Amino acid sequence: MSETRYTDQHEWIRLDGEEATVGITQYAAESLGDVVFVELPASGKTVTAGGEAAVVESVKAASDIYAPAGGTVTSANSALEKEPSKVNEDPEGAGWFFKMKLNDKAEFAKLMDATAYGKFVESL
Amino acid sequence: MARALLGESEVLPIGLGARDSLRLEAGLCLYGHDIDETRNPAEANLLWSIGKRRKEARDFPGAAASLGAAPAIKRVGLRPEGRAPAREGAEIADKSGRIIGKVTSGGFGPSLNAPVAMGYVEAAFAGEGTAVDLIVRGKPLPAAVAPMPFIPNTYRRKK
Repeated sequence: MSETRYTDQHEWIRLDGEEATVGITQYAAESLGDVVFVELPASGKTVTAGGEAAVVESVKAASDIYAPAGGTVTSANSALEKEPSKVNEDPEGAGWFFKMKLNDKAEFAKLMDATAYGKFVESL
Repeated sequence: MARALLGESEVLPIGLGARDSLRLEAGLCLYGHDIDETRNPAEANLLWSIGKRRKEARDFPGAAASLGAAPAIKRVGLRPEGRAPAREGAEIADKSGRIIGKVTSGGFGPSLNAPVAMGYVEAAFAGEGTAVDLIVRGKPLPAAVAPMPFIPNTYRRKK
């Protein structure tokens, strides 16, 4: 069974067994506007919680995407290289950025759940 | 007034991002970015904007610098390869890695569905098709010097 958590930087992370998938939320995708390019991390890259992991370029600006938790990147969504618009169309599904193995699941557990994130977005 | 205009069926709201990408595709300078007090019309490739009589009389501010020796740097259009945009401030390097200029405007051109930029390079690199690298996040992004406007303009001159 998978479980999804959220950061205050508007990334989501879905833990499914030992592997976690990371992307940006609907709110982030809408705020960025049309995504035109995504720079993805290489498989094997070590990321830290809150550290830079990817870059998303929209028609408006370039934004860093931070790893919600520390670990090692296991794969990236290469489909975004040809079709970055998937990030706008389905940010929390087909528009995922990368998969990673977590160092410590406690970091994941500390993040906001869907209810808390929903309240956070409403407060913005 | 904005509400009254938006009430018209052919009017849609646009923001600064849309305006900026469209003027860049049209090859138009944004003051304070692509031109400022430190650039003369020859460097900025804007001598066409000065009347013939004034060019002959050399009586406009900066005439000596603009009409004297050929400029050492020139404003050019740039077309990055691939889809990653290079934005204002990105350095421009020649193929040996030497820095030869800087991007002054850059982004993604929605009409071209491709990234576009403009900036200043040493005059020797200003020729159309010259291969350069734009330094984006510390990595060289291959690009070519390209003619502007990036898309043909459709301005009408009033008869």
